[in-house]
Amino acid sequence: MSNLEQAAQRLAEGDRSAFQVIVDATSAKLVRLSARMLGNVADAEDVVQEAYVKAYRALTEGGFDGRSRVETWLYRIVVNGTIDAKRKLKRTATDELVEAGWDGAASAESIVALRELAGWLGELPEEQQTVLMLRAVEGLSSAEIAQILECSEGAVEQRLVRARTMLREKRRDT
Amino acid sequence: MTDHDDIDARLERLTRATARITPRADFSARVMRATVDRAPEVSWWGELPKAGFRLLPVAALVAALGITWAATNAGAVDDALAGSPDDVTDLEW
Repeated sequence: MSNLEQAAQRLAEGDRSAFQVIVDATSAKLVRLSARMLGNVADAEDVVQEAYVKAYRALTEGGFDGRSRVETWLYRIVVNGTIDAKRKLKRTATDELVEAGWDGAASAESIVALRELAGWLGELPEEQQTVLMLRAVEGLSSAEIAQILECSEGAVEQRLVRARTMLREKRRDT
Repeated sequence: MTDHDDIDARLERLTRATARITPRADFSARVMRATVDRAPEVSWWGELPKAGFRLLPVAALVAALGITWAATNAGAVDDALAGSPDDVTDLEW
């Protein structure tokens, strides 16, 4: 049993401090994923915080069935939350420039890259964008992505092919 | 360079450029405040409904057995009362 699974079990048994273990082990990865999908960190933090609130409730009230790994399950909550947030957020270019707590050359470069990534992949339909992000950027396997998105591995592969085809076509058009 | 290589190269460049993104330093504390600190302490009163719910099947079984026992013994009481002229009798338990 991994550290995360052990922490989830301890939390279910009433040890609240175990949740800190889960947050510390996953927050950077989850915020990065959400930020890459949304194009900014501040909104990603809000999405991930909300995801943790849902996860905490599920883990303490027996809502986590343990059929998938804790990390995969958290990815699923964050991906769904991020997709919802993207639909709600109709940001202007000016809003996107506001990034509290970010400074320095490296951070500025990251912010520009975030916007470029979200803008570029944002041209794709939602499901293709998510699959390409999880595979090519996050480095997850098709099996892991299928578990996160609750679809078949074949569907993941198909979306990947379509995503790449569409990006190629868009590139030719420009 | 093919289109495929071009897409992969761009994805790789953007992945590297965003690899150092982390949440702000107080993010973990913020999450803990929104979850663990916000949740109410587990109290005896809070646990009472849950415990009651768990005992419900046992209570139902005891009640069913009680009703069965009462129905079975009602006949004996009636028989004993029937033999008594003033409807009073000493029952042996």
